[in-house]
Amino acid sequence: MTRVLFTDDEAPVLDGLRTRLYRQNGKWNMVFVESGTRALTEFEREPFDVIVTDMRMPGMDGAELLERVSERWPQTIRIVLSGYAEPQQALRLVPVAHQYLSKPCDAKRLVSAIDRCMQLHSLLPHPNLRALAGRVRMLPVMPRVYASLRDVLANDNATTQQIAELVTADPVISAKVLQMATSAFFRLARPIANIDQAVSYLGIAAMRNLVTAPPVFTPLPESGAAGLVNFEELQARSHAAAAGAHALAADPQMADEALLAGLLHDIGYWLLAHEYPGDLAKAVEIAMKERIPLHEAEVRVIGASHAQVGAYLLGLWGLPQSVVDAVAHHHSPQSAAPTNFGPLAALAIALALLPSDESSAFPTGLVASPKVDANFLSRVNAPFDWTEATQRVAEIFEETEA
Amino acid sequence: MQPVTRSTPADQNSELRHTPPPLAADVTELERLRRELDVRNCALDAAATHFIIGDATKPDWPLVYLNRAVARDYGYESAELLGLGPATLFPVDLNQVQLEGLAQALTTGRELRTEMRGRRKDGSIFWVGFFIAPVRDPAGHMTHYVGIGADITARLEQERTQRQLQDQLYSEMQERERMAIELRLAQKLESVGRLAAGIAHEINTPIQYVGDGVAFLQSAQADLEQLLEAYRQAFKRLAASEPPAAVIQSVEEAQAAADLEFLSVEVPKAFERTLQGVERVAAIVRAMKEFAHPDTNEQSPADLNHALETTLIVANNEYKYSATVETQFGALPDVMCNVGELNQVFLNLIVNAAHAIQESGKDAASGRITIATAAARDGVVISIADNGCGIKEENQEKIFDPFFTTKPVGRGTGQGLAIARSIIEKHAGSIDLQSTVGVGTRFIIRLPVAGRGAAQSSKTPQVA
Repeated sequence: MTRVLFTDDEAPVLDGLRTRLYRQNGKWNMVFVESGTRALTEFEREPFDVIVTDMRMPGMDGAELLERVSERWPQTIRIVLSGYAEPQQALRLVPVAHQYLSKPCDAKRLVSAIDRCMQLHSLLPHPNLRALAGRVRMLPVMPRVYASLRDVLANDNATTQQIAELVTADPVISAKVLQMATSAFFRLARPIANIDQAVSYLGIAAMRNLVTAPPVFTPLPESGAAGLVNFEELQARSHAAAAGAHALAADPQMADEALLAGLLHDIGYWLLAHEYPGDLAKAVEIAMKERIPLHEAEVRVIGASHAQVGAYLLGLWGLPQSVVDAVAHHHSPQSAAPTNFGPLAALAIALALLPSDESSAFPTGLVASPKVDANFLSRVNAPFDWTEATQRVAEIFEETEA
Repeated sequence: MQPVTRSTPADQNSELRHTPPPLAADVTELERLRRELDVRNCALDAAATHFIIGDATKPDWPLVYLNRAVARDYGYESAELLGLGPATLFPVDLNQVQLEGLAQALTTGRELRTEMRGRRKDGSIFWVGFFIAPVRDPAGHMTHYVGIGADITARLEQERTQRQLQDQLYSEMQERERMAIELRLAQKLESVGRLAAGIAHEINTPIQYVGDGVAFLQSAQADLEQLLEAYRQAFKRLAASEPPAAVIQSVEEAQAAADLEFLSVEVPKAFERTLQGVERVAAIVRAMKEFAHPDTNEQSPADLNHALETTLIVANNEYKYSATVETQFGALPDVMCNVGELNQVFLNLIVNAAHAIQESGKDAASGRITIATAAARDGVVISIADNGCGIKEENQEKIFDPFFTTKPVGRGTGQGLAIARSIIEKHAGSIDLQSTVGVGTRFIIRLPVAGRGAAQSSKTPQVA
């Protein structure tokens, strides 16, 4: 049973939620407390899978509570449910909250947010891995992109277009921006799969706060264990995959999601290089020695692949489900058994059609292309055949190279 | 004027030319006159002032005398100018037409002052001031005119600079005034913006549980409807003489499915909570309406205890996380005032108190804002006290100055207390403070019951 803890200083809010959610009783074990201190006491007694907290509370506020929870019980999913927070307070939530819901929030939305997060457990079955993912505080980003973004934002004449272009150049910054823009707290309460839109919704001031406020991003170390991945190459490959997936998409909504899936599909490597550099190095070594695909070696060493880790984080952040699925299964599209033609299928086809010399991000031969062929196309009801797919993707690759 | 006329070189020359050779006694007299004349000429030539004499009987008023200053300042030799009209020196302002106007003026009037542009021989222009007077013969006809002038370019320049300075000063004053207005507006917008955000939070909280409550009641009603249906079925089955044991069992199952016990406890509470939430939203909206009393200059009687309560509701979100508010309201007479403005003063002071408490590190449990009111002779006293960080003695004088703020950038415009004081003074009242660092601050506002009219009526106590 999912254990959910609700914290709010207003008793009627808790009573309202308790009665409204009583139908969840069979699925959820819910506890309701009126302060951060009481919340921590309940955690001491028995940890929770999910915590939902108000932001403004006397004494310990929501940001402080979530910070403490993230340190002691990092695998817990952290959701904020608040009426309003000043920008400065909202900014304190950025490193510690997975999702932000705004009062008044319909219980259905709350239930679906929690259910979605709980379903992510299947991506990272091992609680230790979830704990490690939950502990990630400083998000690793590409040093070059980070520096340029800071430069551009320091300029008063920065345009959203300039900013969006740089955001797109790093998957972690992209994902964080989408997380914030998707959250009702910062902006609109609707899923956004378009980075340009996300940047303009957030606005330049919020972007400046996000990028220049110290505790959110940190540049990836240039050398050391993380040095075994060439992130510039990896990023170039992601952009090529994104362009290919976008070209194959059937409609504009899917095109946005396919593009995003392409941009973000290897985000797991950013986290692995930063959080488990030693394990990643070991996985590379095993893959080379035993001539097996790197993602399989990752599962063996770490317990999960970069695809699973990345998808888990994107899911926690509330990114569109189709994008999360595409990222999770981009190495094994057949096992995900998609019966419709969606972002996963588009991404998988684009990856399969990527020229093999594009994969110099790792020692050669490590990255396995997904097994996709004409049969796969007919199974997902793709609106084109293999020849046409090859043609469309080849055209795009030529364009991007030119 | 007469001596000048008599000593013109023209007269002198003609005298020399037309009179017969003088006798010895006359020679001595002539010599004496000549010396006297030389002295005067020297004096005139030594002066920086311009002297000219012209013949008014000829058409273009030719010059018959000019002193050295004229020749020097206009860049001519004296001889070059003699016989030429004044238009040579003042071509811009003294053409033929203007000259006739001048003649007209001199003939009818006695003398005139004017400022003209003089032109030097090299064509450059400078400003001269001239005093021009007619010289008349015994019959009263104007025969000559005399002009006394000076280069006034420097003076005009100085005047122009002065005027510029004045204009600049004036526009700076206007700018300051505009800025003061803008700052007042900014302060107002800032407090409105902050309040709006706080009120959004205050309203969203009850809306959350009102929404949850109604949704719960809806689902409870559906559950109860099913239960009712089970009862109806049970009646039918009993009426059809089914065995009661089976019927009772199905009713009990339906009751368990509906969680009847839970519903009968929670449904009344949900109604209670929902009504209370709606009342809370209504109270906030009511208070907002009263708080934002439209700005007019008119004063009307108001209950300031009620005004303080309204402000406390509106500003609840500003202080509830940093302090507990205690009110000690005495019975107050209605006060003539602009209550919307006074609310702004109360709001500023309450927000300041909350900030001072945050600054001192206290929290909602230990922070305390005490608001007390009392009636006094002809007026009321309102005190707003906090147990916050206090104000340093050297700052106590300054805190009412516009722009003075100890808060970090972005926390305030520094106008709050300056505006508070100006509003209170507009109401013929006073605002003072007592503060000790580390102990707290107390603001004391005294307002006359008669409001703005109190200032006048205080001179005549009987009327008051």
